[in-house]
Amino acid sequence: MECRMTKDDLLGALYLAQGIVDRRVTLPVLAHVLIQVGNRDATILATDQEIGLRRRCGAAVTKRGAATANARVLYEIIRSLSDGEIELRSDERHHLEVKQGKSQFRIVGIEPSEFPAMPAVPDVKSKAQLSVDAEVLRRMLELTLFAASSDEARPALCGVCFERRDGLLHVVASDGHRLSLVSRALKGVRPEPGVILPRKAVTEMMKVLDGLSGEVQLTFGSGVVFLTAGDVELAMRTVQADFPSYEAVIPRETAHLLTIANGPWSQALRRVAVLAAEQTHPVRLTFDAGKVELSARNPELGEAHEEVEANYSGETFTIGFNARYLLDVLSLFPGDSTVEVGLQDDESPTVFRVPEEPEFLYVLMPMRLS
Amino acid sequence: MNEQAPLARKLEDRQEGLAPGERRVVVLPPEVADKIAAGEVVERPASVVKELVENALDAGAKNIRVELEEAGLGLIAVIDDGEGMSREDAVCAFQRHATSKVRTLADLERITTLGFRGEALASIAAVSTTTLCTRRREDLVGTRVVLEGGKLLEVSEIGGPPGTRVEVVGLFANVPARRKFLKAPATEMGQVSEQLTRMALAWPNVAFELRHGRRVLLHFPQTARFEERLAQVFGRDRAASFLDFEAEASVGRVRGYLSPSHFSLPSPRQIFTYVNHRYVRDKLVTHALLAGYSTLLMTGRYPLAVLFLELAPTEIDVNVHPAKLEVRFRRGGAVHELISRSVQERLRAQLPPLGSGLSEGDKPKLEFASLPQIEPLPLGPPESTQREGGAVPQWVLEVPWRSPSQPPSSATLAPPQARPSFAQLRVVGQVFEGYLVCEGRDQFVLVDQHAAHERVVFERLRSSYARGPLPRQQLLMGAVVPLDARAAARLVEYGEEAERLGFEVEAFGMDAVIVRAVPALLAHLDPAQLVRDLAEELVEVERPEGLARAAERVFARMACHTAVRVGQSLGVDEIRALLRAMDEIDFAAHCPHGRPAFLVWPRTEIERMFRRI
Repeated sequence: MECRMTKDDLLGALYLAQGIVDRRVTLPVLAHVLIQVGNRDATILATDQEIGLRRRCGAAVTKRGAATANARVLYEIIRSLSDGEIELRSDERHHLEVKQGKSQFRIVGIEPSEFPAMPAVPDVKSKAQLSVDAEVLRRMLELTLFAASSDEARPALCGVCFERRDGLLHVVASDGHRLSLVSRALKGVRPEPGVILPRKAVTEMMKVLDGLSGEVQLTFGSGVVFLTAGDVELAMRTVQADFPSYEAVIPRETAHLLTIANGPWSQALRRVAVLAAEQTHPVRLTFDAGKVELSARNPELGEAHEEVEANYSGETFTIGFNARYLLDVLSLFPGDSTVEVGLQDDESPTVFRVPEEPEFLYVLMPMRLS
Repeated sequence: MNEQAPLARKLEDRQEGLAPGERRVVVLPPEVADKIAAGEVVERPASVVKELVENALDAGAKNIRVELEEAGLGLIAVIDDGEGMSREDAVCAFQRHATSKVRTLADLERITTLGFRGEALASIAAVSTTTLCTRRREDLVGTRVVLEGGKLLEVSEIGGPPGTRVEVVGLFANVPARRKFLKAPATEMGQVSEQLTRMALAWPNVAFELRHGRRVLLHFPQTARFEERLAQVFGRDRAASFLDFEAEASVGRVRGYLSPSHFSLPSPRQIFTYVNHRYVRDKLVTHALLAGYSTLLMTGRYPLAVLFLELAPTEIDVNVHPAKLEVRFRRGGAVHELISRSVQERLRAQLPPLGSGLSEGDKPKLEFASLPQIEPLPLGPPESTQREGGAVPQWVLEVPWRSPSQPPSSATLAPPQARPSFAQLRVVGQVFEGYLVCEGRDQFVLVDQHAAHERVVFERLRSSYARGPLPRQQLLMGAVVPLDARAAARLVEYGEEAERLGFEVEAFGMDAVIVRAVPALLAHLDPAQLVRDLAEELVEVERPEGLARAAERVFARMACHTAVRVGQSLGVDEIRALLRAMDEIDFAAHCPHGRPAFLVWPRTEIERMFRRI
């Protein structure tokens, strides 16, 4: 194969490939990208057999064909070249030649047919497809992924679940102590039972969506979900597990409601948490008329107390939380936003909402402090 | 010790004092009675050696030579340069319960000498032909006493050096039954040399020599420094790695030398424990020592340790066992606490200073130089200056026990409270997806990522538990955990204890529980797995009192599940976080199962391996 491509096109594809290629040495071909050159464009593929990336780029084709190269090596080379056109050529010994001006590289490759086949997006007219604005989807993922577990022993919780409920698309994640949920009415048909995408897939999806605008498509195949966003196509294997039924843990009503400015509250939490026990970050919150008192104590470090103004008129009570679990969610919203906290008692789930993004909901279980 | 030994000879026959116990139904002929009694004290050549050497020590000897032929059956000779005996004493010494060391019943309550029962010589003489030659320094002529099968054959005058020489010929010749039960000569010789080593450890200011035929088996020259004796016995390198400590409580004092926790042996035979300079093999003392090592050693592995307890004579009863191997403590609990606590504290401080804490002057600290397969460095404490054979064994009073392995001028050594810094190590990389390769100042450090992380988690759990019930993170969705009925019942029964450990568990039918909360420290893990672990450990607990111990096992097991595995490749950030965490905890040296968490080679070791030095 032989073609010319712009540095931008190539680099954009290789950047996405970086996150996907498998760095483990079990199957060397998985550390490579495959470059397929067609009649008038080129496609760059990368996969770790869980996620597959296909990125189409414009190319001035001299000769069709395919070549592979180590993804990291190629990325480092392309990145350090000057802007503008880059020539790519492969030889029969599977070397990839990269040329720009007086710079010339010959990279050892692998027989292209060894590159694993990638699932193709099923029929575009399939019923299991929905269209969504790239920015909206990215935000939905951002608002949920952080709450997913990283304990691989529980695969169902190690990702983000997509499912249809009450005519809405629910995107939800939980690690068993907290749950983050975004529900939106969307165009298209949604998956009925929950489909779970693993953390890595969601992370890569967010990378693809980053900076994009306009509609993208999610297609739900059997065991695979495809994201089609412009020139990029991502095939993601789903987690073979059932997401726990969670609607029962979302309190329909709570006894008390607190309204508080996100900025001052987050900052106070951050300060107080400095003196909370290091691993579990326990902080005590006391809700009182017009204010929240925050405190933390660590026998080895000392104690911290702080008061933050809040709109509260319920009964006075104290509850313990992992400060990280609070800050994780508060940091997703601007400082000038308002947070509504629905409280029951010190051992029931607490609900967090932000009026600016009414589709979002966060449920957090308290911590029992001695 | 000998300054406390009564100077009087073995004169008093204490038979009257014990008369009620001696009443006989049928009076045995004295030869039979003597042989029976002898059997209690004199089991084998090693016991003869023990009794005779103890007598020599009680007599203030500075040089003790033991000579054996035919593994002691031909000849056992013990030659000392102690104070010797007068003619009358020499004869009396062979009467049963003849002793110079105890006179009244009250004396028995405060025994400070090694021998006291007045049985040894009589017992030995009963089963052999025994010749005693002795001369006091002030006497012109000495005395020679010969007995055969307990009968006095000869008392005569003899010349010779000051001191006492006891020769035992034909041991058990007249007791074929006993002779039959002796083991192979090599085994019997092993016992003798072990026996002598035990005594030598407690008496560094006495020279010991053991010969078998023409071969010198042991030779421990006299030394003023206890560390020097350790070096003579265990070798210089091993001795240099010992961790020394000293502690005191109302019940008494304990001093000791411990092998660092990375070193272990498959049997407890290298544990030497002494009560008031008497070697004892006491369950309580050994248990306390091992409790001090606690989780630092794998099950079935033992340390090398030398422990000296000094208790007021009224605190102990040594008259429990004929061979005086056991003692009875008046306040056993306090003794146990003293030992286990001080051992634990010393081990906590054992970490070698890593990175910046270390400088050239620290070389004698060789805790990690004696790694398997690698020859330790030929370094050690400087040669001791031999002291003249003064009357008072000053090593007890003078030896700087606190820092024997450290040169006194070494100001560069980090004090035990200064934590070594793993965080300051330079991370070179990871090998075999399981071991972190790091560089400290003049040190090559290898960290087992799983063991290290396990220890980190374990210590976090343990220290949090020590401060109170573990904080519990509640679960959004109570998880149903199927268990066998016994485990489920046990979990519910111990609900309160489980809560202290950070769990909220409710019954769910007969053979399952619902878990509502888990320890916040382990909140990222599968609650079902945690509860299964907890249940398995609780089933083992027989009584609720045992829960404190169970807690430790629960934590160890959970830590193991939590920790990063070997086979998991770690990023630089993760490695850094792990090393930082290792700095925070108390015992970074081992994983809770007792495997080492890291190994350190000094630069000199590496250079030596490459024959650069």
